[in-house]
Amino acid sequence: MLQGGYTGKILRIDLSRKEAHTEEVSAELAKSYIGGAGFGIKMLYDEVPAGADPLGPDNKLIFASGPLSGSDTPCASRMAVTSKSPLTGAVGMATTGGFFPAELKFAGYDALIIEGAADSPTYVTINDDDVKFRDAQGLWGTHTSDCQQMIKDSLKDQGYRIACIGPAGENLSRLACIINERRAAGRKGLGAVMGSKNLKAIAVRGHGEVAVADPDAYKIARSSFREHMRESPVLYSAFAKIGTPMVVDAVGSMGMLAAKNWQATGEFVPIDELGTEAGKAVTVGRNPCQGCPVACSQLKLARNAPYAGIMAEGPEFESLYSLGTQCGISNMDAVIAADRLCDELGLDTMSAGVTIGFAMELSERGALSAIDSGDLDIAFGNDRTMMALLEKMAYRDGIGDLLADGVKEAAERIGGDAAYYAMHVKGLELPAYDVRGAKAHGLNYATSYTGADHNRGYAFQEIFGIPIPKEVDRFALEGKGELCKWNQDIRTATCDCPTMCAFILDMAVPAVAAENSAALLTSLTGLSFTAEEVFQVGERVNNLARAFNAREGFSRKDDTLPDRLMNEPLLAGGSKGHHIPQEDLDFMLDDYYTARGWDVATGTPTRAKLEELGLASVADDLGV
Amino acid sequence: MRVTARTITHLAVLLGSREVELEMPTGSRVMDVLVRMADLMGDQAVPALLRPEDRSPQGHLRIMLNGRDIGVLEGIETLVQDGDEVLVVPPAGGG
Repeated sequence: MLQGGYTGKILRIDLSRKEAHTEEVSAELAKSYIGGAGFGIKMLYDEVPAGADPLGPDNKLIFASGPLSGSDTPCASRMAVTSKSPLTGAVGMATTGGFFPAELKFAGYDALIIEGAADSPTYVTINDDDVKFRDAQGLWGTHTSDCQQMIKDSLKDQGYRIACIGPAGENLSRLACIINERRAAGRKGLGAVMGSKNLKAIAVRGHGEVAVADPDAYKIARSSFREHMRESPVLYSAFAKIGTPMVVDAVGSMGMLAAKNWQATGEFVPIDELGTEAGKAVTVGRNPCQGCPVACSQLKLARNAPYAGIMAEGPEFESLYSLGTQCGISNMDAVIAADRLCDELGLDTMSAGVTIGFAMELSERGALSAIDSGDLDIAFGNDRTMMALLEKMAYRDGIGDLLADGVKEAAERIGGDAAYYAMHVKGLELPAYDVRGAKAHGLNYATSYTGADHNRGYAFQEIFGIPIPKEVDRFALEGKGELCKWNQDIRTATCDCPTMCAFILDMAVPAVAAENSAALLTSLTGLSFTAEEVFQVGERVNNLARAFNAREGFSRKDDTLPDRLMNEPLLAGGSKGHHIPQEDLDFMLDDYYTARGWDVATGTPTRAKLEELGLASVADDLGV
Repeated sequence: MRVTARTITHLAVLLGSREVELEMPTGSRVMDVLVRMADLMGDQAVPALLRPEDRSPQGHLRIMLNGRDIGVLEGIETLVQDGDEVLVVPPAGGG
């Protein structure tokens, strides 16, 4: 039975009927899926029918914090937000941190299931077991920081933690994110799902605490975890002070920091302007997530006109790429301002920036000549244009309407050879790592259940040289299928489900991640988890997500990479000469499907694999 | 022969640049390049680049030859050729 970690309750919120009720979390669900993304994907598979309109009332939005969240395990205030993505049509799962995830547990819930759609703008307040549906007419149109403050003021309680959308979500941009505090469940257009449900915000206030099943064993497990954190050669000594911008230097030096819509990787490498030292110069503070002793998130202040006075929590590494190098911009102040603007508008910094870089390349090639772009000079390096386009995308104004749904949709509308320049997989825009120099990372872009998502199977062996489970040659193809599977399963199992900050996996416990999670989960929850069982949860969740996508029509044909990565070797830098031609991708895909026990021809999970994972009914659903 | 030595962040500060061109004798190994880098870095090269006890490379540093980790080659004994590039990256994470 559930003795700790879990609250044991799921809150189901029906926006159509303005009704809410609780349901029990079974020990079987907890043991098989742990929580977080595991719960979200299980509920999505069970409750959202094949072919459902992602922006229709049949789609659901699931917020799930794992059993570690809200406990005093460090770095665990994380939450998975899961839905059918309007950007990809596949599973849309994004994680966020801050304080909302832990507050949800304090209010007494492991998960929220949002279903139906309100008939007018609405926000929901949850104060322990008191759930109210409130009129959001006066909030509609607000930026996310104003929205959150207005709700706190209205409720006369500054302790609420709020997840909300900005204008981008209201206007159903498929690049819209969900913002809580200054954090984001950023990718896959989940903000548009909220907007389609007329749900402006969810405000949570909790007064409970997370119980511990076996305090003595838990204390030992937590102490061991903290010792691993202290022993890390980078976590406190550098990462806590610099945060993710340190990756600009590391990845840039290896010739893998993508630039100018992936034309200029290795050529345009503005480490001096956007890297570690530049970041330090504009950092004015740090803002930890709940219960995090590391506090990697850096507050940065622009000090030069025309952006002077604008502060952002970030920009993180990915935003330094998407709003920086991807757009040919090396002005740190501009990236800070664009990062903040995206947060206020509720736009995913990554997809929005990649889409603008795509437009810049098309414009320079003359492919946008038939598009009315007003008086904008759409060209690489023009930060004022970038700022203007972000606004236009959020409000679907003019050319912004063309770009508001990402590069795949825009390329289809533009026609011609625009699709060649659209940098995405399954509709999700590419992250910063130019994977022509990191093959397992590229294979993950191709096969992740969410599309091109660095976080679902991060190849830290290739990116940071961490030799676990073994040292690899980042340019080699051999063994990358098995490695990609391992990376996807270990991260799902130990980060996305329990829930836990993924940075800690890489930097503190890469060699003992499953053992660390098993010890924490067992002592905290009273359920028995072995390291092997934890790892298998990762495999189970990845298979169930793959089954959801197969049910939607996805198969091997969709596990691909943009043409540019397959056709154009890198021209400069530390990965010069490398690319991933189709035959190399096919070699890795064969290896990957074989490692996964999936059908090599279709990429669909086999009955044998599904039955091994206790998913026989899913095999029936798929007819395999 | 000429070999390019590159590094980043605090090691680049010690080196005086993120990239230096070194004239190395034929038959040089990766370790020889690291020793030359340490000479250029001055007193702080130990312990920033090399371990005080035996002046071997610090274990937490990532060392690459032409983009490949030396662990998949012959380690610090790997021979370098004219035009090769040795990259030393301090531990990093996140992103």
